[in-house]
Amino acid sequence: MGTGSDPKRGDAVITQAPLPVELQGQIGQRLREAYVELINEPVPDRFVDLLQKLKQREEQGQGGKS
Amino acid sequence: MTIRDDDLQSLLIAAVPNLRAFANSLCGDPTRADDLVQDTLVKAWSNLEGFEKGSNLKAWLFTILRNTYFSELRKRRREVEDADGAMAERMSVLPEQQVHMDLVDFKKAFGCLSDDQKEVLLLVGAEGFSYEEAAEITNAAVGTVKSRVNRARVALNKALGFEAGENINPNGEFAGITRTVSRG
Repeated sequence: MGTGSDPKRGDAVITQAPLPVELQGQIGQRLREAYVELINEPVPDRFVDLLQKLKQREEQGQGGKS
Repeated sequence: MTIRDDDLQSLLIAAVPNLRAFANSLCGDPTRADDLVQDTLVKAWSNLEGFEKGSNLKAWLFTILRNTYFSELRKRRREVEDADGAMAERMSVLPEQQVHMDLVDFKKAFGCLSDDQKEVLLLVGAEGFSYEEAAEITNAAVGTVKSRVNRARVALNKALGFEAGENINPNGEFAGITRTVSRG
């Protein structure tokens, strides 16, 4: 399909004239708006629990059986 | 081993909102995004030796996440023929209630970008990584990253119909973006 998804492919040459700064700004603004929306979502407990578990497991491993 | 303490735990937790936003934007599937973040945290925790102290922890985490994503994607591609199209579709039907119409349009257009373009645009445009950092994270040349960012912007601009007072491509050089735009 030629989707260019291989990072090693030779598309390093800039064949496209850069977008005018004004338009870059408009796109950047929307991108950040959409992104900030995602960042502001509350973090599910599973991640806090997960790190807690990883830490506990490691402490047990290091200290041997108590 | 030296930085593996409460500090690290809180540093990782602090990075979770960004990792989730990045994963979500990349794959367009909230459930899968959270699985990706979970995998990333587990890998980070068990490979701390691979992290050089003093270097950028966030960049390191993003590297792990995108590597995990792309290796999974390669596996899935063998199973699902048109993974790209399916993902673009999913991105466009994410439940959104009170967002502006133009943001909905933006997300739809963004979902139609190639994964290569999405990730660099997110890293540079949303996360604020430098081109050099983005190049390191994606294991690509700086010139490749710049080129991808630019092509992503041009594609989005075309999809969204923004206009400026000048021709986007005054030199009439090959643009190579029609594929990306027409796919959605």
